Amino acid sequence: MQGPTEQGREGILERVSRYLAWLAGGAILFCAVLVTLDVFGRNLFNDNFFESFEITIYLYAVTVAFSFSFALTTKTHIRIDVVYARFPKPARAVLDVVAMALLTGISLILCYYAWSLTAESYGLPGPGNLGAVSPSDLSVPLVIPQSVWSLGLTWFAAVCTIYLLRGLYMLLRGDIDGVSHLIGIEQREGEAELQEALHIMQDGETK
Amino acid sequence: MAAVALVVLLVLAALGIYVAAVLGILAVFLGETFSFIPLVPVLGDVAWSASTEFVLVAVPLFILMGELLLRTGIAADMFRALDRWVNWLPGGLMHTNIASSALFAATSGSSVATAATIGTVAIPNIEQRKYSPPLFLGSLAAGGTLGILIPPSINMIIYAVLTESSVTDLYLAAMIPGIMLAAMFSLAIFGACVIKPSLSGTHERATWAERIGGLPHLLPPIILFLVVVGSIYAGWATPTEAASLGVVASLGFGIYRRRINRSVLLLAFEGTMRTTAMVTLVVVIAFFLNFVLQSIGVTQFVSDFMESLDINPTWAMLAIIAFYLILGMFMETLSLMIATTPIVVPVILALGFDQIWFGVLFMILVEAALITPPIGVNLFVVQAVRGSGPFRDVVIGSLPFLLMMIAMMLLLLAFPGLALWLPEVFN
Repeated sequence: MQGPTEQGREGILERVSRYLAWLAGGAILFCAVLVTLDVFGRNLFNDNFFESFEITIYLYAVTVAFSFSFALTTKTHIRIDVVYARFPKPARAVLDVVAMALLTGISLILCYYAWSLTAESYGLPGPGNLGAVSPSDLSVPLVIPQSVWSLGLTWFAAVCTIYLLRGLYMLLRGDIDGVSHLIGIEQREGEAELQEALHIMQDGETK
Repeated sequence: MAAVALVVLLVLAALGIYVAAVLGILAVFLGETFSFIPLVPVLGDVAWSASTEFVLVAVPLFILMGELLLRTGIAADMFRALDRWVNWLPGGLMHTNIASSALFAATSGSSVATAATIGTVAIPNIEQRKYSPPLFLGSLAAGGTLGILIPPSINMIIYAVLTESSVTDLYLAAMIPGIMLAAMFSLAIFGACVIKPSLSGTHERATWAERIGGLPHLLPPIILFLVVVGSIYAGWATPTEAASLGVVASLGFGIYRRRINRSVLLLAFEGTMRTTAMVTLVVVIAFFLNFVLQSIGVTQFVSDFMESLDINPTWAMLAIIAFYLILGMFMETLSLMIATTPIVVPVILALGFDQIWFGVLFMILVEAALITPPIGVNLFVVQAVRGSGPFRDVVIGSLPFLLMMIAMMLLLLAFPGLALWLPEVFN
């Protein structure tokens, strides 16, 4: 069995993004177990023991925010290459940097307004001194999940910015292959998923 | 002005700009240009409510379920067991392709995973049993697309969230068309092989003992289907809860088969979060775009405009279908779906169509987009699994199934009850 892909050769950003994705996936599995217990609790004893609904939506927001960067470092965020693929390599590298710049812009806007929402929740009146709370039995101060979520989006914006700067630096130095390796489209949609699926099937055949 | 903006953005998308960024720029631009109050500051609110939408949590859960299933080897066992039941039909194994795709589709939310998994087990048989490659490959590419029509479907969850429809209603509505489409695929194979027997390969008829002996291998997918879809229909669980049950059940199968270890789990987590992050980013931005379009009145304008045109709804729907078939040749399907939903759904509502009904039709259009060249993901997947031979084979072989999809859409147009009957019965 091949271990998680390409681990040895990746840089710190890529590695941290991968570890975060592991944590996030684990959290999603945890949600599945919690929700399952609640489904049984509700149908058998008429009670939701674990408040899984609220915990799950916060974990979803947080885990996904922290996983955006993993989709970037593994080139999973969708780009369409119908016209792109017809351009010569240097032009594609320029397009890659432009694409990265626009994505970075969106990631920064998202990050900024996420923090501003968090500050707003903190400023609202609530029962404790942590601002607005969720309208539920748990009464979670919203500032807690929202600040962790904003932190995730900040990590995404940071990785985007560093990728943009790296890409720009490579482009200015004329390192076209470097740009395409870092932020080019290169792999087709479904390819990574496919390679893995094939690997698993071959693995299954030999066992 | 708005038209110019739209053209510029289509060009940006075609040039390989991240789809999420393109939608974001469109939203910011429209908000800044056409709104009296600043809309961009609401982004935080919109993004937070989209990110904490319980229905959307079903997306990572179903992906995780598919990831775990893929690694438990139940797909390959299921294929061999089903083969013994259907291989005597003219067309032999190709029916197995369709039947196992349909069954696997009923447990996995992804058509790429369906096509890759079934394809890997099936393709070696082309040479071994002398099948004509095009039709065989086509049956794999097209069979794989059933994954997004037969519940549970991730695409349907996203459609439901974007249009504020009920996922349960959509799943109920897609049930009959999904089974019908699978049957029509088989009919196409049957017809082709009766007319031209050389398309079919050799097949040994299985004994009844072999058939019965294989049945236990069909149990896991059937149990999963009952757990996931049955619990929704029985009213015990919401779709997101059903997805959780499915994750726990597949983990159970994996542990029972001793296929779950640290590295398998980590790979499944990686795959899950990669796809989930990709999907969610586009959905969150699309939510914001949706909000902007509604705030500046584009949504209202579009539906008023459609009503003022006073055109025949059927012709308009045929035009929409044609538009999607053409767009689907070039566009990646998820972006196609998310980017066009906010505009097209008000149009079809103004024309007097039902949004649940359209959701089902839309899924078939997305399926068609997956097998139409030059950009058809399932064509690529099947070709990649095959490894050699002309790509043309897969494209030509998919054509009869594309015709069946178009026939299914026309049937839905003529008999909306095919989709709407089950939701009515259950509500």
